Amino acid sequence: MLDGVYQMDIAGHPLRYAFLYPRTRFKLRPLPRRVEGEDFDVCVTPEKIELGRGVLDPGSTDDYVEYRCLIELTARALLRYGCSIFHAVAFVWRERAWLLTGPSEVGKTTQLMNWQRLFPGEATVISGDMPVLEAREDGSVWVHPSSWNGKENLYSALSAPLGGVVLLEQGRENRIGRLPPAQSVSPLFKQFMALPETEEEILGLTGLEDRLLRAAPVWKLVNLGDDDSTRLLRRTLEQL
Amino acid sequence: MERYRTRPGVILTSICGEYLLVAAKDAREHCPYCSQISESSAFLWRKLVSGAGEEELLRAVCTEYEIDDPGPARQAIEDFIGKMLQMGYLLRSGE
Repeated sequence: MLDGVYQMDIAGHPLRYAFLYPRTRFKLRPLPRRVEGEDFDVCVTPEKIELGRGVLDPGSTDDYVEYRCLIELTARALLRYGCSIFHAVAFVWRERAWLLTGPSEVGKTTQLMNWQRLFPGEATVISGDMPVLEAREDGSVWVHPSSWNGKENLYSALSAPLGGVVLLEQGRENRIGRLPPAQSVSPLFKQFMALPETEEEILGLTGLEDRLLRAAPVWKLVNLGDDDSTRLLRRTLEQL
Repeated sequence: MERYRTRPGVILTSICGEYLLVAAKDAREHCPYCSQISESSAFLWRKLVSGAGEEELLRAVCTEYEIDDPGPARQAIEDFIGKMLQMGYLLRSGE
């Protein structure tokens, strides 16, 4: 049974969680704190746990499955604040946040690691896997850390305004080019972790992406994952 | 004349002037989560949402795009409806 209600602030917004497994909350950052009351925003159902177990490693513990299921539910719960979770590596460079996105195993972390090795001290990670994007009233989009940071568990407490988005694709050469909305809308939409259940949530999510695309440019980097591809990426971004 | 209805839970939305059909929770069991469509397809979708049949679609398209020869437009509408039926975004009335 549920072990009370806990609150965690994400991108400055409070979300209340009820956990099926007590150990799950210790995987979250900042550590959720116990709060009074019985109302909550996010709770994983046993049915969701079973669905989640089907796509994770067979040996995954109950609390790990719940932790992973919380991503989508948290991403949906954040929509009411104009925020959601986006599948990307996020890092700060020159006081702006940059998102490296694309399907799993496309080389997002490789690009970050290359950058940190080739240009030491320049890039500071925000989230290694699931940053939170926030559309603000002034038209800017901010990038925040979350509790879900990938295999390497790369994260910090930094937040920054979005500088740009890079959609990664593996290829036999290195080349980069700007992507107009006609070519970026659909692939970026699929990188949001919220799977909307209502019209209101759909409009919240598409509204957030609209703000993202108006706030920052998008590039496509076809790459080999080598050092030259990262140098090409940096040269391109510094011309902005 | 066959009539159609859009699948409940499928929403037409716009991002930076580009159009997406997005399927909410239950609809996702029957059609893709999201698909980008053209402006003219979005026009047709809106007409289908309001209950237009094929002839009404044809008249609306010819008026909107100032088309004199309806032949190619009819074919384009049939192609769009066929694709939407195949993808599961559209249902035949009565389904």
